Amino acid sequence: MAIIGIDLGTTNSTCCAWKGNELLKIPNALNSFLTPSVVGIDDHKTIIVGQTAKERLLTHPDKTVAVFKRLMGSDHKVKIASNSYSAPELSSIIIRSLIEDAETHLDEKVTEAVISVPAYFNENQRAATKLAGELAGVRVRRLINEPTAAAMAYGLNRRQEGTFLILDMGGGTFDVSILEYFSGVMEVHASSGDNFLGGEDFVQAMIDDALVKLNLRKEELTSKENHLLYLQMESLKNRIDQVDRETLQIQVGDEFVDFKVSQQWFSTTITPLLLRVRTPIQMALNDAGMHAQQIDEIILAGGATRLRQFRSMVAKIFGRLPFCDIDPDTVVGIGAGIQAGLLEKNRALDDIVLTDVCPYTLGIEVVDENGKPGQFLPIIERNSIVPVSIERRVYTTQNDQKFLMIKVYQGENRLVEKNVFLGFVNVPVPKSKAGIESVRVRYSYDMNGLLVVDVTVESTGKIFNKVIENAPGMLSDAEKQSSLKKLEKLKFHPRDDQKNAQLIAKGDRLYTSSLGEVRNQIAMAISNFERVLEKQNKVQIERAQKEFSDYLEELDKEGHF
Amino acid sequence: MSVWEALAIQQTLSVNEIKNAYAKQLKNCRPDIDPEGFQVLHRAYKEALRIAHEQNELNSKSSRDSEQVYIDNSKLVDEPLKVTENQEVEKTIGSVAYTEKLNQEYQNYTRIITEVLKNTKTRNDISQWKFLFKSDCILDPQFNEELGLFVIENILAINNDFQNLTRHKKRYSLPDATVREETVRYLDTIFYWRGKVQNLRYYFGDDDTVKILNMLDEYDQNIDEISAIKSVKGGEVKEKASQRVDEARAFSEARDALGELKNITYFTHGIGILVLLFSINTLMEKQVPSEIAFSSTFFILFIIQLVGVTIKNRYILYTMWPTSCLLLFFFPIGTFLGVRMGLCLSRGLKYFRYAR
Ligand SMILES: Nc1ncnc2c1ncn2[C@@H]1O[C@H](COP(=O)(O)OP(=O)(O)OP(=O)(O)O)[C@@H](O)[C@H]1O
Ligand SMILES: [Mg+2]
Repeated sequence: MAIIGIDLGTTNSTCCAWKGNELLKIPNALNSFLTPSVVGIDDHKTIIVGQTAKERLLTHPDKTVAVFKRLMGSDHKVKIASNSYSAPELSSIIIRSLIEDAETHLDEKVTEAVISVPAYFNENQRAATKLAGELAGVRVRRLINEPTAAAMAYGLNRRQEGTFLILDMGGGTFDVSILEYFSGVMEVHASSGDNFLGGEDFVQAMIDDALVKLNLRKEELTSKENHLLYLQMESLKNRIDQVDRETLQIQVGDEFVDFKVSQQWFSTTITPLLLRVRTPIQMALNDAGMHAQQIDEIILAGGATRLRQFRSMVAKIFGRLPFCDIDPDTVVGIGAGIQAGLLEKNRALDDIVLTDVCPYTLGIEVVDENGKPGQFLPIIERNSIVPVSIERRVYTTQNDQKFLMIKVYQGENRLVEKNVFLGFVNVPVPKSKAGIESVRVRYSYDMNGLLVVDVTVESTGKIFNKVIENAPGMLSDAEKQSSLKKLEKLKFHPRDDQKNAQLIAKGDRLYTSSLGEVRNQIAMAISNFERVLEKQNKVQIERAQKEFSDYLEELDKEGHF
Repeated sequence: MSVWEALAIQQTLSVNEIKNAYAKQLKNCRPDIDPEGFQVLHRAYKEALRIAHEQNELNSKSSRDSEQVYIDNSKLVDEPLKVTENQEVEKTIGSVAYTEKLNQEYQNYTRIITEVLKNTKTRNDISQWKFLFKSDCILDPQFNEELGLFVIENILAINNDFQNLTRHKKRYSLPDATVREETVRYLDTIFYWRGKVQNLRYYFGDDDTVKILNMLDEYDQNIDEISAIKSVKGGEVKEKASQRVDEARAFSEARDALGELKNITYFTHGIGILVLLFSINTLMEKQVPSEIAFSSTFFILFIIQLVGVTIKNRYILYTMWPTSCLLLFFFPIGTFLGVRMGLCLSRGLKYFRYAR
């Protein structure tokens, strides 16, 4: 029985556990600590997860899906092969594969998990993440904010006291948290962020600009061509520091168009996105009541913070270089693992207490003095320390009003329509004159960042609390059961065969993205490899694996895909 | 319980002591185990810190006041910010060359900005503004802020000039006579005026600040959703609203419908009144016998009711209740008039035959 910590990322997921007196990073079947958050279905109708699925995005775009974390908390579904899945269902598939890795590695059953979420995730998105865990068959003990997790990893690693500002820019989200570490207390002062800013957006900006310059529209390219362009840009972004000038060959139909790129072009293209980094930083500083000078250290987490341009932007804001000596890809997972250890009451961690804040203002819809509906009445102010529980009273506005509709919203605008809708409950009240009947609305926000709303009718004492169950993207118990059944039926790709499957998928991808002579060579290599696999001789297979994998690696580097 | 009791220490101005006390107490009421106790402790902690900071500030101020006389002039010379291990950044960021580069770029940018804004063709064309990203100076906070002030000042000048035109002139001016809201909103993503309200107030006064903020107040949530769907790789995203969202939507629709209902009520009543007026008018001119006028009015109202019932339109049914009451009230009279009308008709028919 173990608790594991999971970083469920937009691009990559990781998994850590606390064992004995130390933290264990858990490798997946391909012996890597990072599992790409990609889910696919292969030709035998089995589920494939991670690197293999990622390779197949190019060759089987209709049977594979990535970057679905952004759909969490919405009602959208994604169709792959012939079935539709919601974002929590897809995430649960990833979690299930991580759990399997952990069980293999730890040699015990995993029943509970701590899952990290972007600090700026709203209630719906948090609830969806919790649901994903439950659908994967584990109890979600805690949702931990990603920057907080990163800070825990740093705090524990260095045991240095002070005030830190954590910037976490991953594939899809950007988070800012300010926290203080002293005498075993880790106190978050404020969090802010942008749920739609991350590495993926940089790539998208590059693609958009290239298409404009080439006078092309996205629809004019096939999905394969679009994805090829995506891979080219993604690779260019990650090695931009080594690039001075270069000409990309972009496939359009049967032709190739030249597109000249340079560092200058890259910087110009991503500057509008970099500028968006300032807003959350400013907000977090304001909410914490601090100046940039009061921050002792700036800590970076998330893969996209590797960008030199990002670092120099941060340096310009704070007048000093940020700090990052833990691998930014796994730092959040490590923090989640530490939190899991804390929950298990591990001795080595006994002296740490973590306090966090709620990043949004939570409130209800009310009518203003002039009778205009749609006004937002805050109940819990943003960046209040959690757990917190606050009550407010609201009154009827009409004579003989029979119902009071309590609509729950989250956000910073004075109008509810510009905030996020979280759910509603319609409360019956005894008939009376306007303003006589009232209800007490109690908001309780727990350590997981999950909200509970209790509505008490003053005159009858009746309590209503089925509010958040009515949120978008949430499931009723029956729906949850049917979703569980559906997921249980899925067959996963056999674990011991994953390496081979990944190599073949990678071969297929390289075949698709290259041309002419190289193509024939790749085809040849794949079929040779497949022939060795058929013979089922372990020693031979191992040798062939190594050869084939080296060969593909070489090609990958040359081709820059 | 006093602040100090909660922290279990004597009153103190030492921030360190307060923090240590808090840390010690926290072990006994961890937030996840004892939320209420934690809230009390945390409030006490914050309050204690506030008191300590306030007092310390006061003390240091008074001591500074008394020291003022002795301040050594040499200390007032601008010292370099601080020496840290991050010399690499300091070298570039604080250096003379860097400042010079910024100055030069600033001259350059203000020139281009003036040109872009002057020309009505370019000022609202987003692609014309892309030059701002050419150099990384725009990422420098101070540079960005100063340039932002320059831009918004010029935009205000243009838009205020337009406001001061006469009505006649306004009507015949070109479509791009002003800098449009979309443009200002776009530029705000670069200069982030929204977050610098105090600054704006300081430079431009309340009126103009409000003007700027009003232009920025539009925010479209759908954009996030669209970008979320757009960024999904592979698969096929299907929009599917759940039933519960539908319900919630139905509630707000019902609210809107109520408004609509009112409009329809006005409409049908309007028709009723028109018919009545019409019949009174015809009565006055004595073109038609009074019986016919009245009974046909009620007849029309009755038909509307009937239509409402048969096509089961709740709006008509709801809104016709006043007229139905009228109908009920006048029903005896109506029947009486109806009989009279029948007689009238037969008499008329007779007259007609007679005339032949
Ligand atoms: N060397 C690099 N230079 C620039 N970007 C990089 C580099 N390496 C990785 N990235 C980017 O980092 C992103 C992935 O980071 P990470 O794994 O931290 O995200 P995530 O945790 O999956 O996402 P999130 O935390 O937003 O949900 C990708 O968009 C990737 O392109
Ligand atoms: Mg991450």
